[in-house]
Amino acid sequence: MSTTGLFSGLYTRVREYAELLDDVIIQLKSGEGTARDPRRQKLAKLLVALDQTPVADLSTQLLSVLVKEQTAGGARWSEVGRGLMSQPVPETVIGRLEELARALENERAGMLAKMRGRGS
Amino acid sequence: MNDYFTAAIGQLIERARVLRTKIPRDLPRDYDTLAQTCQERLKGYLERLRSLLEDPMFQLSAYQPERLRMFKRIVGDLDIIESVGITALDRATDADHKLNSLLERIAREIRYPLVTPVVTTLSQQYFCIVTDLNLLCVPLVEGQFLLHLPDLYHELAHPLLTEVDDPVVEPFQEAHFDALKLVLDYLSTEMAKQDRRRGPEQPSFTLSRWEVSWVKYWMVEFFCDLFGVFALGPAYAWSHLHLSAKRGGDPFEVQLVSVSSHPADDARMRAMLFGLEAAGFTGEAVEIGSKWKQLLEHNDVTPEPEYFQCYPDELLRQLAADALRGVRDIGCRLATPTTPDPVHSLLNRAWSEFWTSPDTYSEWEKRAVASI
Repeated sequence: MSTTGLFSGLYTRVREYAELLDDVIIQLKSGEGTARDPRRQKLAKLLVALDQTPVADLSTQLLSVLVKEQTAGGARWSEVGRGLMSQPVPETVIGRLEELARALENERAGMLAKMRGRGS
Repeated sequence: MNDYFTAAIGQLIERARVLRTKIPRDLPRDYDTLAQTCQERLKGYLERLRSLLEDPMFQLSAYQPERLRMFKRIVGDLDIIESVGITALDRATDADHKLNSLLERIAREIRYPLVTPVVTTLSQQYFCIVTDLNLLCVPLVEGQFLLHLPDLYHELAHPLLTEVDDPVVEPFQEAHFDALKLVLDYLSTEMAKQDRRRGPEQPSFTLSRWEVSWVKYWMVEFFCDLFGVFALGPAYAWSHLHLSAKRGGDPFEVQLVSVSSHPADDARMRAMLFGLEAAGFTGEAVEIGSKWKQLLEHNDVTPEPEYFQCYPDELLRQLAADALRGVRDIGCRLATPTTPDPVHSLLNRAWSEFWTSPDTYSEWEKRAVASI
């Protein structure tokens, strides 16, 4: 009946996605790193997989649902993923990643509030 | 905001340092994993906080959104460590030690493939597990009673679904994903039907809400329930009946506009009964099903048509089959009508006593608990 266990597992995943996003955004803003960077490749792969059907694994399925819930529908995340692998990375890609980072932060904060019994 | 971050991060560093001093050094070995996890996490947070404070990059305005989000995440993580992890260590009592010993026995009986979680009796909301800390929380005096202890098995299943990169538990996770794909295919078919009808938009919206609920929450709950059924047997389903009778709301609740965290109690029971049948407890499934039906009659509520669309029998039966495959493939001991393991037998015996001797059950339970 308790929600903590349920949210706790999801919270960890959301936090990991959020950390990955911020690491990559910082890297892009600072002009450091290349398309071969493992973190950037991991994020690009995740984003490209979001638009594929059927979804390849549970982690992607989960991120897909979170993204659909928190961002405007119809967003083509695979384009952002492919943009991440290009050199130079288009400025619009950073904007889209920041949008996603804000959305995941909302999800994370909401989940933590539920785990701690602070409602919504 | 640099001044804000300078003071706030400085204070948080001090808080994390104080928390490190609160980790007791004299607890039984059962707590070593939790103490070690808390220490390592705190060291990691301190390192990241110092980076947010001292790295010249984080003084620049371009990086303030990332700095703020990172700061908030560390605050959240520290909240969990302080309010759950270190509190459990700081307040560990004899009752906790006994439950830790009991959980270790259960883990050995069922050949639990991961590190056994630490138990604390500090839960303020029934049974739950904080998977990130591998800490299982139960209500203060739960160790003195038997009828809800089957829920320990449910909580043990959560880490099996969240552990990453461990081939031993992957078969259970793959079974979970297979079951989810089945549900998503079903919902997709229902949505296509709805689109062909060109009716109002509400049913399609409802189906999309169910999709979110299944992916984020419900399948996890069903799989943890079914793990409980396959590892413990009938006592798990009895405890669900007990919990629903004591604390449940509408057993057929189905949300049409919002996302809900737990599936309907009746759907959970139906999945458990399919699981019991698949595990060879056919007679017990009939008996529990009959008592469940009586409980539903006392509740005096009837399901909406959407309820059956949300949780069709065939889907639940298939989930039970997938979960059984998953539990079997990770090498856990499956409960059968002849399983002799002591804790398994005690928890199932408790429910036999409960129904056969309701007048004297409490006395029997006291003796039984004392003998653990």
